[in-house]
Amino acid sequence: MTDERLKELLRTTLPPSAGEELVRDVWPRLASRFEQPPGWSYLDLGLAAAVCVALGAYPEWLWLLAYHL
Amino acid sequence: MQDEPDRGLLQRFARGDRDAFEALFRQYEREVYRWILRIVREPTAAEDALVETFWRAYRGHARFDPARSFGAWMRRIATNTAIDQLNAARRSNWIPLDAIAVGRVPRSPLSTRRAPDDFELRDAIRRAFGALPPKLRVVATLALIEDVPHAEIADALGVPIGTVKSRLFRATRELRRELEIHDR
Repeated sequence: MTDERLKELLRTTLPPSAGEELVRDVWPRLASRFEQPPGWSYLDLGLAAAVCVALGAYPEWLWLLAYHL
Repeated sequence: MQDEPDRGLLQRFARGDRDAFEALFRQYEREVYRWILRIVREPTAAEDALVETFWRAYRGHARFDPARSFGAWMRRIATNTAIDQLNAARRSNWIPLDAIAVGRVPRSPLSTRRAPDDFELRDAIRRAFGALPPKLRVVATLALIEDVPHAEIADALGVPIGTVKSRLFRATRELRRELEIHDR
């Protein structure tokens, strides 16, 4: 199969976009993100879990943690 | 790509000014949407990616250099967002290629070409294309279907032209391998 044949097959089956326009105003969706409180990231959750595990294993570290807070 | 906004607006955006951000959003939303749609090829998915693209841009406002092109910066973020969306869709086995209807063929010389009348072949093309890794699929979509110049694709992906050519070669090889058994 030549490159041209492949390209023709692709373009007849998956036609190029016809420049469709955005039909909705998506600004309200974007603006609503400003109102959302910052969520917990995987890093936050991982750190919290690590602290809990560490405190479970070494309860005396609680004083150290309290000192740094 | 449209004219660049004035430097003052870009500087306000870079400082995190929300009004400047909205002004830039209004100025670029259509262009960015059309670019994303060319990659993800499904209007609802393109809208989602558009929102995510501008959100990422706002969060990254401090990294934007007002001396550089805002349009090019947005296009790069949009391309990465679209790739992330294709990756997510691939992980959930949802490939939005079914949304590509024959009725959306533009009025161009291509639209007068005979479509492959073999349903099996067309289905094989969709499946082969949908099975491509998103990084290859994006390059194949833009280069083979949308006829975007390699330099423009390289700029949007933030990679050298050689990388675009290499990805296109790999995509073509994989598609050819999948399709040759149907095209005899």
